[in-house]
Amino acid sequence: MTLGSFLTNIINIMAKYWQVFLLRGIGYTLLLSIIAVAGGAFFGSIFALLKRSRIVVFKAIISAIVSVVRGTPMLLQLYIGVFVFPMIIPKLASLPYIYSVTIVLIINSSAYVSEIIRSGIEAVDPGQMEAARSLGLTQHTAMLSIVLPQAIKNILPALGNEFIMVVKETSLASTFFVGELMTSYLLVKGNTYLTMECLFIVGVLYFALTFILSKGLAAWERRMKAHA
Amino acid sequence: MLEVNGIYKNFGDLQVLKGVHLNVEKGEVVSIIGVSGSGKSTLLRCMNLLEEPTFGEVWMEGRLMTPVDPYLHEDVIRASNTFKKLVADGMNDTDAIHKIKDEDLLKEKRKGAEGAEYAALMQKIYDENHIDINLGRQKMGMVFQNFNLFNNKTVKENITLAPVKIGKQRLKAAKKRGEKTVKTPADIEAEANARAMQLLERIGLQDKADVYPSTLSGGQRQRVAIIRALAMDPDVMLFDEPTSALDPEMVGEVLDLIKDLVRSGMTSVIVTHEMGFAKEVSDRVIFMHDGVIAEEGTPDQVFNHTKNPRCKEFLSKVLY
Amino acid sequence: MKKILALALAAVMVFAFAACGSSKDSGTADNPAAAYDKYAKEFKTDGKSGTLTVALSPDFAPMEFYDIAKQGDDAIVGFDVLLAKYLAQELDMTLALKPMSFDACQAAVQTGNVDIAISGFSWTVERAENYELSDWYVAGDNETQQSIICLKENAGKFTKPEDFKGYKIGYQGASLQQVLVGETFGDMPDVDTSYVFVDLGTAVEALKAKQVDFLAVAHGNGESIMANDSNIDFTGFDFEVDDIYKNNVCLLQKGNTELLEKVNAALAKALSNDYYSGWYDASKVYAGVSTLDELGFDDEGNKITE
Repeated sequence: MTLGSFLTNIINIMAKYWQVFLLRGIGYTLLLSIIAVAGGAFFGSIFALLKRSRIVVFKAIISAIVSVVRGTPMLLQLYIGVFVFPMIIPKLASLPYIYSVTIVLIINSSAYVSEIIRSGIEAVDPGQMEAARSLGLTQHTAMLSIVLPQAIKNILPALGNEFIMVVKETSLASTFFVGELMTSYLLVKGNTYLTMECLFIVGVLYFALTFILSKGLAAWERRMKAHA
Repeated sequence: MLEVNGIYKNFGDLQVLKGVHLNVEKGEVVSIIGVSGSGKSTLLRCMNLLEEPTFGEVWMEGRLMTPVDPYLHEDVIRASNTFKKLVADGMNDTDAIHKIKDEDLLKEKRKGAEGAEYAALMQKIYDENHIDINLGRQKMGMVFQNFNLFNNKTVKENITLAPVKIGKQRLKAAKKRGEKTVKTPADIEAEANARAMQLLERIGLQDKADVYPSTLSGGQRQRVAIIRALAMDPDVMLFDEPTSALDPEMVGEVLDLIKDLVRSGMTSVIVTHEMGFAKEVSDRVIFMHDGVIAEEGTPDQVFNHTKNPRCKEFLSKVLY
Repeated sequence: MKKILALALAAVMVFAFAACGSSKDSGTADNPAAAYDKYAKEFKTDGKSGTLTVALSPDFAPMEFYDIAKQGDDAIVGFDVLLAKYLAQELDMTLALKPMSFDACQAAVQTGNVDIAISGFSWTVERAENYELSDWYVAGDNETQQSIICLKENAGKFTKPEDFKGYKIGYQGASLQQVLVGETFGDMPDVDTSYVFVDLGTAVEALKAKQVDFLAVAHGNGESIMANDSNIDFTGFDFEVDDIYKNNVCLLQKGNTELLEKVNAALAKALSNDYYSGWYDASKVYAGVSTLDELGFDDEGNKITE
C-alpha cells in the first residue's frame, strides 16, 4: 500500500460516500451525543439528588446503577439494552434499535453525570452549607442559593468533558448500525473492503469533532471564569 | 437562656463530648478554653445543632431544639416498661432509675417497646416544648473560624440573604394562615438592604458592599461574617475560634468588634485561644478537658486560683 | 465565540436537512442496481400474518451491504435481503430488517429479539447445537467456491497445499474459512495459520501490510475485494469443500420449530424453482463485482435467457 494509492482511495471514497460520513455519520453522532448528555444531565441530577436523599432504597438503587454502569463495558450495556430491555418493555421490541441504544446511552451518561454532580457538590466547602444553616435557612434554600451555584462552576466543565467522551462512546452503538460515524465506517468498509482508508476518514472526523468541541468548551470556561 | 443538658457526642467510636451541662444566662459572656480536641468547638456546634448531639437536649429560650432525651426526665423513665419490670422484680425506684441510666437500657429499644404511657409522655414533652430547628437557629448567630462567607454572593448579599429569604418565608406563611400583611416582599428587601448598609458602616466597610468576599482581607471577612450573623438580630452569638485563622495584625480589629458587641449586652459564647481577651470580656470561663467541663468560674477564679491540675497545666503553657 | 457556535449550529442544520432529502441518483443508464431492484420489487413484503424480523450484518458484500442512495430498509441490499423478502412473501408476513454486527445477529436470535438471522451463516456443529438451523440455501460461488487470495505478485504460483509451506495464512474468526484452513493445513506445521481476524476488512489490511501472505476467503467476497483493490488476486488455489459447508443456513431460536418448518418449505420451493442463481448474480452486479453484461442481464436488468 503506497501513500499515493492510499490518498487516491480516500478521495474516491469521499467522492462517493461523503454523505454517509458527513451527513449521516456526524449528524447521528452529534444527535446521539446531545440526547445522551442532555438526558444524562437531567436524570443524572435526579440520580444525584436521590443519592443524597435519606431514603435508603433510592440510595441503594442509584448506587447499584452507577456501580454497574461504571463497572461494565459500554458494549455489554448496549447488548443488554437492545436484547433485554424489550423483554421488560414490550413497546421497545417494535421500535428500531436506535431507541434502545439511546436509552442505554442516557442511562450510561446519567450514571457518570450523577457522579460529576455529586463530586461537584462535595467539592464546595462544607462551611458554606454550615454558614447558611446557622443563619436558619432550610437545607433546601441553602442548597439552591449557596451550594448549587458554586457547585455548577465545578460541574459544567466536567459535563463538557463527558460530552466529548460520549461522542467517542457512541461509536460502540455501531454494533447495531444506528447510523453514527462508526456505522458509516462499517457500511463503506463493507462495500469497498478499504478498511484503513475508511478508518482514517472516521478518525479524522472524530478528532475534528472532539477538537472543535473541546476548544469551544475551553473558550466558554474562560468566559465563565472571567465573570465569576 | 441557652441551655445544653447532658450532651454526649460520638463520632463513630470516638467520644468527643461525655455529658456536658451548661446554662448561659441572658447578657452573659461565656468563654470556653481548652486544648485542641477537648471538645470545645464540638460543644459550640452542638448548641445550634450543626452537630447533632448523640444524647442530650438543647434548649433555647425555654424551647427544645433536639429530640426528647428520656434519661433527662425522671417521669419518662418511670413510665417505661423497663422501669416497671425492674420495680415489679423487687428493685426500689431510685436503684431502678440509676440502673436504667447507667446501663442505657432505653436506647436500644424501639419507641413502641417501652409501652404506650412512655411513648405518650415522650410525645407530650416534645409537642409542648419543641421549636423548629431553623427557628431556633435564627435566634443564634454563629461566627466560624474560617469565616464561611458565601463565595457566590457580594458582601451586601451575604448580609441580606438570610433576612430576605426568611422574611419572605414568614410573609408567605402569614398569608397562608390568612393574616393581613402590611409588608410586601419589596419592603423586606429594602429593609434588609438598609440594615446591611447600616451594619457595614458600623464596621467601616460600606464601600465594600458590592465586592465579592474573595477580594477582602481575612480581618475584613471575619467582621463581615459577624455582622452577617447580627443582621438576623440574634439573641445569642456563638463564636468558634473567630481569630484563629487570621494573620496576627488582623486579630485586633476582629476582637475589638466582638468586645464592642459584648459591651452592648449581647449574650455570647466564645470558643477562643486568646486568653487575654477571654479574661477581659468574660463573665464566666469554662475549661474543657477530654469531653467534659473540668473547671468553670469567673476569669479570676479560673485564671488565678484554679485547683484543677489539668487547667493549671494548660494555663501554664498558654500564659507563659 | 457566539459566532463560531452559531456557525457550527447552522452547518449541522444544513447537513441534517440535506441528509433528510438526500437524492436518489440511481437512474443512470449503466445502473448496477437495475437487476437487483427488479427482483426486489416483485416480492410482496407486507403480509398479514405478523412481522418477520430478520437480523443481518450488512458489511459483507455481495451477500448483504448498504446502498447509500436508498432510504430506510431499502438501503440494505444483497442476496440475503432478497431471500428475506422471498421468505416474507411466502410466509405472508411483513418484513422488518434489523442490521447489526455479525456477533449481535446470533445474540439477537438467541434472545428472541428477532425471528431469524440471514447473514451468510455457514453450517457448523456448534451452531447446530445452539440454534435451529434451516435447510441450506445456495449462495452461488460465495460458498461453493472457497479460495485463497494474495497480493498480485504471487498470483497463480500457489495451487496445491504443499505450495504454502513456510507462509502465513489468515482468515476471519468463527467463519467457514477457519474450518477449511484447519482441515487443509492443520497437520502441516510449516504453514502458519495463527492469524485470526475479527472481520474481513481488517484481514485485507493485514494482507496489504504483508503481515500475512495469504487470506482464505469465499470466492464472492474475494471478487468484491478485488473490485476495490487491483493489487489483490486469487492464488489459483481453491479449497476442497465438503457438501455440508457449500451452502448457507438461516439461524432460528432453539425450539422455534414452527417457523423453521415454514422456512424450510419456502427454501425447498426456491431451490426447486432455481431462484438462487438469479438473485446471486444480480447482487454481484449490484456490489460492483461483475457487470450486467458478464452475467447476462440486459440494461433494464432482465435476465437474458437463451
